[in-house]
Amino acid sequence: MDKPVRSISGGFSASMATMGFIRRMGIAFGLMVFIPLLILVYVYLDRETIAFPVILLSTAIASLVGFYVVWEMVKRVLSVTQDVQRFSSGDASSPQQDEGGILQQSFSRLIHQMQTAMAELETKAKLLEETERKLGEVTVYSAQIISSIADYVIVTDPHLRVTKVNPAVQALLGYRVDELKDQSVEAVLRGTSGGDVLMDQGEMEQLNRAGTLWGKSGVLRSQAGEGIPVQMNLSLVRDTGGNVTGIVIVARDVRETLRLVADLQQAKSTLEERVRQRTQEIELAMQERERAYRELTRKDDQLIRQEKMASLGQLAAGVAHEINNPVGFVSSNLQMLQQYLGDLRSYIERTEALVHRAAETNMPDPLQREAGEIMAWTDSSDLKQTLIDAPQALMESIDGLNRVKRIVSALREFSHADQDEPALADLNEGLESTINIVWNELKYKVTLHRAYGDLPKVQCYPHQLNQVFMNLLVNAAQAIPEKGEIWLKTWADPDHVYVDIRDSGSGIPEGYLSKIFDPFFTTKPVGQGTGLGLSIVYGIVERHGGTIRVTSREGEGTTFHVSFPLMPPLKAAA
Amino acid sequence: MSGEGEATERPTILVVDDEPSVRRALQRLFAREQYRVLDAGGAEEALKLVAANPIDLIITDYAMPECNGLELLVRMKKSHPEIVRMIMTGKADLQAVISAINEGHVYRFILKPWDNDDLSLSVRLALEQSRLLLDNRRLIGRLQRQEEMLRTLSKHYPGITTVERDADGAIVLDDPDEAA
Repeated sequence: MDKPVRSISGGFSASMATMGFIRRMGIAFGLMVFIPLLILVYVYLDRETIAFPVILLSTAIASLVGFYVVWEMVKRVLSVTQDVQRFSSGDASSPQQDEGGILQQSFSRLIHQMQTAMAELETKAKLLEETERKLGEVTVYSAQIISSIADYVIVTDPHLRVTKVNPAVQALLGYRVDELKDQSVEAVLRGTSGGDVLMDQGEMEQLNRAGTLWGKSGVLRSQAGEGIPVQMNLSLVRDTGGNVTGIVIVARDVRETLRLVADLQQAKSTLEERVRQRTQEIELAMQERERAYRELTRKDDQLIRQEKMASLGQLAAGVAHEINNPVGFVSSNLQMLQQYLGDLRSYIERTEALVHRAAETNMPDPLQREAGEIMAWTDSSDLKQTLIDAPQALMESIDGLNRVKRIVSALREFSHADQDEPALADLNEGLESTINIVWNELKYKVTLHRAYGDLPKVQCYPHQLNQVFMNLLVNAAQAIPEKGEIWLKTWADPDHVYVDIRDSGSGIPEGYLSKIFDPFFTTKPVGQGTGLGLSIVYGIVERHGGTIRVTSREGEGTTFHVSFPLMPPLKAAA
Repeated sequence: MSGEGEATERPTILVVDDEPSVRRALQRLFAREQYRVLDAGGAEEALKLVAANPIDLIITDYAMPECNGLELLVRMKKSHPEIVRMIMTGKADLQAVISAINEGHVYRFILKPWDNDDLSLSVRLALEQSRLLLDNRRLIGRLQRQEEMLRTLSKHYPGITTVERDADGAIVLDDPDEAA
């Protein structure tokens, strides 16, 4: 029976001594119980025989045995105690090989093992204590961090039931700490993607897939029912096994941001509005400037033209005298020469007749012969041609000189040398009388169309306006190569009268339009125009405070639009 | 001043211009018209000629160096008002025309270049008018003298200057002695 025990482990070798001690103790205990029992049986069977001695003897045996047993036990206990004491005080010397010794050994082994285990336990406890401390620290640390976060932190379980919120949430929403616990987070926080939910299907999937969902906007609802717009980041919390244990929601109040954005948008739209207004103002100013510039340019052109006219007038007045003197005597002399030539011709003709007669009749010889010689010379010379050509040459000279006179006279017109008195005139009548004057130029080639309106009378220099109409009509006729039409149209408004003179002529090339009013500008062949016609027209219209415009299309014709104010600021005659 | 009856048959015209060609051209024209023509190149010369010759009409250029035509005519009007004054100019200066007519009492203002026929006609009419004026003046003078004579006569012989008529308009001779 011992064998198996011993074989198990050397640690248990003390059990043999223990077994011996238990056997002896068992015997002693048996005797103590058995003997009194025998006595009792005897007493019961044969009372009074040996009553007293036996009782006394058995009592004494029993006491002795008892004493021995107790002594033995005390001895053993004392020994073990000693061993233990020794062992605990470090003396590991081998104890006796009896029950007491075995017990002692077992004890000391046990104690040793216990000591080792204790040491291990102590180390582990220390470790545990340290870990706990650290854990505590970490927990406090994280709690502090979470508490100190101004953003709203809500932790839920995987089913979105609130497990934890940070103080900011409580402070913001007005719920007590335990009020939100285990409630669905959707009671206080919703996404803005619609419905009563925090996340829609897509967002949920994204969160599951990526573990995080950033920048989602939502609305936190306070206990008072206020909706607070937030921007939030959601993160899954997983245990070490990778299972989702919760969701951390960090939300940020974006009211201020939204207000700023709104302010910014307001400011932006205000700014845009102002920019738009300013742009409009600038555009208007630009347009105004553009208009003013055009006006200025137009006035400038007008001024330049007037200046040109004025200086030309001065020039004309200045040179007129110088030109008119020689033209005067040349023209006078040419006329005289014509008369002289006439005289000479009649003299020659008469003389010639006389010579003829002398040559043919029987006259004294020298006279007849001389007459014959004169006739022969006359025939051979260019005299006859001279007599034919001389008047022609004179005629051409006079024509040429007349041309010069016309130019000079046009120039004089220009320097407004001869102004008549201003008068009230009907321009329709003026047109008609002018048509009569120029009819010779018109009648064969032009069909005239009149569309006269009722015109009030105009304060003007009637002769000068007739000059305008004449020049425009003659120009129109000259623009028509063979046959064509001229349309005259007049009408009035309360302040002005208008005259349009349109022809179906060849039109004015665009490049010429700006020049046609320039003095001496002409497209007619040399000698056929003075180049002053339209300049004179311009000058007269200008003097009457009127306007003249031309529209023309090559090959289709030209229209001159003339207008006069009813009461022009006529300058007094110089 | 020539005497009334001594006026030459051919009227005399004085042409004043600083440009000889103009003078000669006008000379040609007027000579052909049977006028006697004198010419001067300036105002001084013209005044000398006027002093020395009977002149019926003067044509002067307006713009001349030293003394212009208008001044000449103004002086001429004072010394010889009976001479018909005409002025020519190549410069169409309205103010000049106005002052010429007002100050110089010119008969006509002629623009250069002139037309021979026009000018001849103007001169002929001017001389005609001048002659008529002179004649008129002469005749008025004669009339005045004769009236003076009549008044003197009537003083000495009252009634001699009046003629009496009867109802039929016949002259009544109340002095048979005289009538005889």
